[in-house]
Amino acid sequence: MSAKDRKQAARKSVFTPRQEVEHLLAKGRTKDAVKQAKIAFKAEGSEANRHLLERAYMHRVRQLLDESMPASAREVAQHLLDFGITHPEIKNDAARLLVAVGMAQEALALQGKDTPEVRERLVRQAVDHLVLHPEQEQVSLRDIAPGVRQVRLALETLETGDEARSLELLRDISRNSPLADWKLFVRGLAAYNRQGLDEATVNWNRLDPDRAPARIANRLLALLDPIPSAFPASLEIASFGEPILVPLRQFRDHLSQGEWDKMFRELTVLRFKLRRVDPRLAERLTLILLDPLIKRTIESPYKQAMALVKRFCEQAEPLPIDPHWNRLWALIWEGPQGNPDTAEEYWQRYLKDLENLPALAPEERRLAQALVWKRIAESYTVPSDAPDLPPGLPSPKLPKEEIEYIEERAVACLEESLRLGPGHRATYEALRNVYLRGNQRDQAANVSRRLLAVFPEDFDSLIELAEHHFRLDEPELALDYSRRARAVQPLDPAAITNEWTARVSLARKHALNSRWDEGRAELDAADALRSALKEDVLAVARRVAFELKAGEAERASKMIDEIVGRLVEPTPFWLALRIEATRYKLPKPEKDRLEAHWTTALTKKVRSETAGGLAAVISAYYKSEIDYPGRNQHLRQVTDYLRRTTRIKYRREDLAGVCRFLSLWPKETELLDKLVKRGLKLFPKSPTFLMMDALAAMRGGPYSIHTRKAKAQFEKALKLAEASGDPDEAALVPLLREKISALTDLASGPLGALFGSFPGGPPPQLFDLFSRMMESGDFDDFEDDFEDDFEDDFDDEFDGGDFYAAPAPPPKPPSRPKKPKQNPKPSTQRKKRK
Amino acid sequence: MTDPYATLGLSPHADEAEVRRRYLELVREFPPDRAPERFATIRAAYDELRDPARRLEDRLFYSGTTDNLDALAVDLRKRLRDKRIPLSVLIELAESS
Repeated sequence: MSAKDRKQAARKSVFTPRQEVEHLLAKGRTKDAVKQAKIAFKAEGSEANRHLLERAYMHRVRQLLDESMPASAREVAQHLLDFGITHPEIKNDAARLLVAVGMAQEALALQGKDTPEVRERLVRQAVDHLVLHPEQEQVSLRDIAPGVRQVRLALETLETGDEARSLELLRDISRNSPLADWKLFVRGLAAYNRQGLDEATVNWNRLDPDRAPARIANRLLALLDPIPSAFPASLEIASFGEPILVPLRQFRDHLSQGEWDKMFRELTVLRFKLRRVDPRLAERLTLILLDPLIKRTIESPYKQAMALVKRFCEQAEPLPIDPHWNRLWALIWEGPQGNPDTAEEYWQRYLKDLENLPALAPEERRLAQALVWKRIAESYTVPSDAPDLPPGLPSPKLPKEEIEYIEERAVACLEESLRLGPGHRATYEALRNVYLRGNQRDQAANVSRRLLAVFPEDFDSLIELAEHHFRLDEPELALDYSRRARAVQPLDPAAITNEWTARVSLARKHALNSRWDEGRAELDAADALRSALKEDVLAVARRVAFELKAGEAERASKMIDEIVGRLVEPTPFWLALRIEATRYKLPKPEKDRLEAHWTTALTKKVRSETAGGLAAVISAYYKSEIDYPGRNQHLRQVTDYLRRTTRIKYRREDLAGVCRFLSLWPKETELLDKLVKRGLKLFPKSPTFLMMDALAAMRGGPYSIHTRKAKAQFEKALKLAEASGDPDEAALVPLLREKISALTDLASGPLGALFGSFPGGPPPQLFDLFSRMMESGDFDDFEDDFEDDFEDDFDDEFDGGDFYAAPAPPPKPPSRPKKPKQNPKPSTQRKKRK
Repeated sequence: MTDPYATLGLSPHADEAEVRRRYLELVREFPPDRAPERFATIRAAYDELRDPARRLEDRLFYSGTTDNLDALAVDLRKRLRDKRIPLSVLIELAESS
């Protein structure tokens, strides 16, 4: 006995024939189940075994139908009918199944004695079956066959696009007809095809959900569902020739998981699938992938990143704007792992691509080239401009010749850009900024003039040129540009201040040339512009100096008496008048008389108002870069006075002004610290003194910087400034945030090590870096300036620039907002190329 | 300053006609008399994007896009929906349901 036979014998001993049939049905082996059921029925012709055989036949028919074998299904169904159906449950199921295999007549005969409802349902089912399978039209259903053919014809007509004819074919179908659902379906489909979704839905909502038209309608409505899985592949194959949505969804999943290897396995296939539908879709795919690709290269190790980009360029659809991928490579090389020199090489190649790029119109190509040159110029940035270090901290300086090289290259690239695109405003602005950063003010002014030639109403250029001519002591030209700026933006504070300053400067120039009437007219015009300043000590001092210069001593004396009588403390006025006496070149006896007033006033008892006023006057001249013979002596006199004020009861605004003035002067840090402490004690809720205390804590350098203290003070100051109603204090908020952010970055980033405890001091390279930072720090710059000032031996006849020292110059209006850069700037510095 | 493309809900590669069409749609939705602030933002974004040089600059150097693979799938579905569905597919839909 073979093993198989032994196994079968063993099974026979375990299962009854009935159990064997059930087991086979459960396994889906319906053919064997029918055989086994027949054997069981022959062995014992009981009712139970008959039922079992009927069930086995039914399963077999259904399976054959599911496996698209309708002829075999019909054959087995005929065997079932020949055998006879006795069980009522099977009778109902069998009738439906017979319709499905195209034996509607037999089905009706089977249900002949049942209710009319059941018969109607069978007829409807038969109709649906015949519409879908006209080749199975049964002879016995002659009464519905013409209607079915009509429906089928209507569907075929609609497929050709003839909606009217299609609907006409179904016009005579009544509401109660078993064909009525098909009529509604065709109406809805016609609406659906012409995007009339509401009309389609109205028709399809009336369909019997158990019938075929409703099933099709539901699938069509699912096409509107945002979930792509609702799409049948057959529809895609019919429309696109192949399935795309499922591969696209898989690709999307890979992208969201960052699985680039899997994406590359599918990218080429997907690209070509999309291309076959529409080449623009393949380009869209590339565009969608660009940003994730660039981000991935930033995160990946160098070699991996390069391999990633190479593979992408091999497999993705090239963009019409970047057919050789040179633009992409340039953007990648501009990134943090890149190298600006290599990026420039790719930009140069891209410039060649642009010469004949069909994707751009001829006039666009030149502008595109101009923009690329500007982009190259932007990479020539000195590190102090490139925020490699946290904002708010000084950056290391490059050697002078390297900075010069960078600036020269930036200028050359921008000039080339302007040659190709002379109408691009931002390029002029970039060029002007390069010159301004290099302190080449004449060149910057030339660029502003070129910009004005193209854009005569460019406000920033007008203001820039006005200020340039103030510096050159050319008030006529300054006034001309200021007036043009005001014509463009009449209410802009910078324009008003500029015109006012120009008029005041011009008045002084008239006075020096003995043109008194013209000078007074300019002063009157200036007063009309900013009437609030008429009573200001600086404005009055200038008026008095003008009248003294004009020989109108009596008028001047009257003005002096008036202001001295009005002021609580005239010492700041005497300082302002003494300064203006020098600037107006008054005769020596007059200057001596005013000097006497000033020096006498200084000896009086110290007061908060006087200290605040003196700091305001001297700061105004210093900040506006107004130089004049004797300025350093005045600075010294004022600080000597302030040194006497460390114990007085200050007013908050006076002390804040004094501290701000002293913070400009690093030699006076001891005095500044004393007064800041005084401020903290007198005004513990003022953010100004907390901020200055924090700045003092940062002053010590790498070994003694108190990060924690500085940050705590900045944070306290920020809270107070945010809650303050004082506009001056509220204005500190952005600065405080910047400082806190800089300190946080510094402490948490690689440079945080600077503030940790190194045995034996910080590592040399960090110490060197910090030293370079400190070399370029604000305090040191000021220190150098002031040392130079004190060492200079001023010529008494020196006539400095004629800027008016505005008491509190309004801030320059914000320049045109710039678009944020998409890609990070290169962190690596450019090497000077031979 | 917010991204003008984001304000108008456009891709950085949108052309002049698309920018204008989208602007007009938004203006109809947010007219100046009913939503003055929103209108001002939309107008500012539109003014910025009207500049051909600005748009060209974005095309050349801006690698980001508001487009995504889901939007691409939506586009494909729309194309599917817009096509006349063959009868054989309709029949298959009925059979496979």
